[in-house]
Amino acid sequence: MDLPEFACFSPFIPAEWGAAHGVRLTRLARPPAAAQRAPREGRCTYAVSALELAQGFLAAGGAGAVFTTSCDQMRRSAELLAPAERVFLFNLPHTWETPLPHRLFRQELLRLSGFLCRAGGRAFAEEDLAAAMRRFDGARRELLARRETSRAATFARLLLAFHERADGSLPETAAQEARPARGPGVAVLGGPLLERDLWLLDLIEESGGRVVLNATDTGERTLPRFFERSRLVADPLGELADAYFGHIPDVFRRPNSELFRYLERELSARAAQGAVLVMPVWCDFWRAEAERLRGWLPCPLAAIDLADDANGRQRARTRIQALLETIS
Amino acid sequence: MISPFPPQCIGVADWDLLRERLLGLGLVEPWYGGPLGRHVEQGDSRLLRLSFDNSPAALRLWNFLLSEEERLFAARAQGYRIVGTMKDLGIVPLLAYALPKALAFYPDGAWWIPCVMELSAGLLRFADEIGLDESFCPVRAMVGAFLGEGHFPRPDLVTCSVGATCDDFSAIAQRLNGFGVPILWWEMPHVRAPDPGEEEARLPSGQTVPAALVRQVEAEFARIARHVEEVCGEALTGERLAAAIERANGIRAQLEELRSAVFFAPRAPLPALEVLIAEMLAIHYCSDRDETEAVLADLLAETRRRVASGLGYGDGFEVRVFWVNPVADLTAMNLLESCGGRLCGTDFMFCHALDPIPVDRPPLTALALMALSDPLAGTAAERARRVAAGARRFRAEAVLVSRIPGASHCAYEGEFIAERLRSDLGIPVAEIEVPPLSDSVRPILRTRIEAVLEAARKRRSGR
Repeated sequence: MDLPEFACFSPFIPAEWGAAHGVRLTRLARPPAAAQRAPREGRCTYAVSALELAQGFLAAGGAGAVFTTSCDQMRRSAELLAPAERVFLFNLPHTWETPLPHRLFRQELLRLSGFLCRAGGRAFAEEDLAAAMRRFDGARRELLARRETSRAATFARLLLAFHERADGSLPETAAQEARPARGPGVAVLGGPLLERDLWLLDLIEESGGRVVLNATDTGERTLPRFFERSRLVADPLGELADAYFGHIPDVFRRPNSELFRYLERELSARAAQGAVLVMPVWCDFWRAEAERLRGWLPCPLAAIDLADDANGRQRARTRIQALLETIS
Repeated sequence: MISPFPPQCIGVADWDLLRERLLGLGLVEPWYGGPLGRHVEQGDSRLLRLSFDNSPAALRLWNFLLSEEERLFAARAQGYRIVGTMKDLGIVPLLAYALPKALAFYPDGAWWIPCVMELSAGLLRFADEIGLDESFCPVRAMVGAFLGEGHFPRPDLVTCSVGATCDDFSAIAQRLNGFGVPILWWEMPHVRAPDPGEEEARLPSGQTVPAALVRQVEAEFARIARHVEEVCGEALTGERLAAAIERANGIRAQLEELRSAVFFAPRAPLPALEVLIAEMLAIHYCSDRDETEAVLADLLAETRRRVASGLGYGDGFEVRVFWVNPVADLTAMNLLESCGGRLCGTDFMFCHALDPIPVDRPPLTALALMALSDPLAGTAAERARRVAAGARRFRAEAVLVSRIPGASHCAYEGEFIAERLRSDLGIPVAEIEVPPLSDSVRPILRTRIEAVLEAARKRRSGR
């Protein structure tokens, strides 16, 4: 029997949690073709895509949709969805420096549990959760191992597919082209890269660069840390909450210092010589940090609006090529 | 002093002449008083484009508002501890005002500097230079004001609510933090309805929320209170907090009386602009609680006298307009009246700073309930419900939703509010966007305001 499916859009919603409830928390990343009508001015293009995806998902019989309060745009987008009883808005704390937000995150997981149960899931048992965590953890280790041998877009697609499957299994991969062995290392950071945006990664490689880090919201930066096996027995829910909320660095968190620590560590470890910042149009959080990143990063930065149109693509192409000329 | 003259809107130059006459008639001003023209000389050139009420109470209100920077520096020199409270609009300042030598203000208020000084302070240019361009809310002016230290002294403690707040503010405050300004971040949860079986609590606004949210915010306030105590070196006792709440409720009661008198009077006894400024006093008392009480007392006395005498603006046939969101350019409030409207109800984003604070529960619990009533922390539907209730109460004939350029919430709320108002009350709703200097879009603003007023007039006449 197919598992009930719930659409979700945040890396802070653990797919393991769905698995422990006998449901799939599938992260959607393939929006329909751009709408004919332009979105209302001021609305983030990612939030608009998420809303369209969720609407289509619910209309097609999906069990529910899970949004988070990671930003005002996503919080308010959830309110536009119908029927409201099939929508869960996860109160994702922005602060993290005190014990309170960590407790809140755990409480929200339990509240989500109630929603999943009301919408067709089963009550979770700790051993089921621990088993799901082991399965996902193993899959993520294997997934990350493929990074070294995959082209950037292929690896990004693998990540998207893994999140979309949301059952701890890895998608099959066809024989693939080799990862570029030479060229300046480029780190890609910023907001979510949807399926339609992955051409950017190809462009970097086709232009002579090597993508050495995908630190976008849909990239490896937002994977949880690996689980501590001993804690899977003692307190699997606590371990789950800590691996996600306690460790994923993100731009919306206050302060967002952990994001900068992560970038400092990873850019150095991957020997990145240049960086590309991708921002959904009207995403305040990433846009506000663009200038700071430009001054702070030890390498040149190209900031790119993720506009899904011909002009936007051309602008992105020009900036990426200019960046690569600078660092080659 | 009650005005010896009938209500009339006048410019700065006329005010300075009038002030001389009033001094001759016995006007006594507080220490921050003086001619409004001096503020123009100090750079507040937008005042030349504004129309002001001609009462001594209005003069005091404007001098109080425009002297805030000077008063803050004076307070610092007198040894006051200063808490910069960001975003929550009306709640955290009470923790500071509970202590004898502490005060709080909102650095957010710097969003009006580009308007009042007509961009001459260079704050928006600085924001542009650091990457906070015009896709952000005009509150981006705050960063330059903060770092420049010419507009207000560096606070001893800076707090900022994040979570269920607008993205612009959170992003801008984070940039400020990135420039080395320490910020005490606190979590403001999204305000939602209780899940099945969840323990409930009722907010003063009438909304039912999970009791867990109240406990969460209360815990955050207890944490902030500890920091305030540390900075001020004094204990923030329950008694002191209760006394601060009592004073806050007194000011809120003054504003309630003022709003009711202005919005219900047959002729508007005060112009829209002065009402906006008076309401703003609720959020942090314009850095002086005693003076706020006195300024509001004067405005109330003037208003009562005008209502009793049948004095006011217009002929009583103006279209009654409920206004949503504050305007980045103050001239927009004058524009409403020049188009034939009058203000009858407001939601300037801080209605939770106007509602009475419960006194039948522990002070921090009461403050948590108020914080959760913040219209921006909940759903747009709930805000629309409150706007509809306000519009009904004040018999508004039209609603103007004033979009704040770049603000994340403004891309969503207008639709909800328009839908709710049309379905519940059947009154016309229009959205306008008011930039910090609206001169270039003034014809568009005028046309949109006139259109919604015309629709309201047609509805009034049954056509």
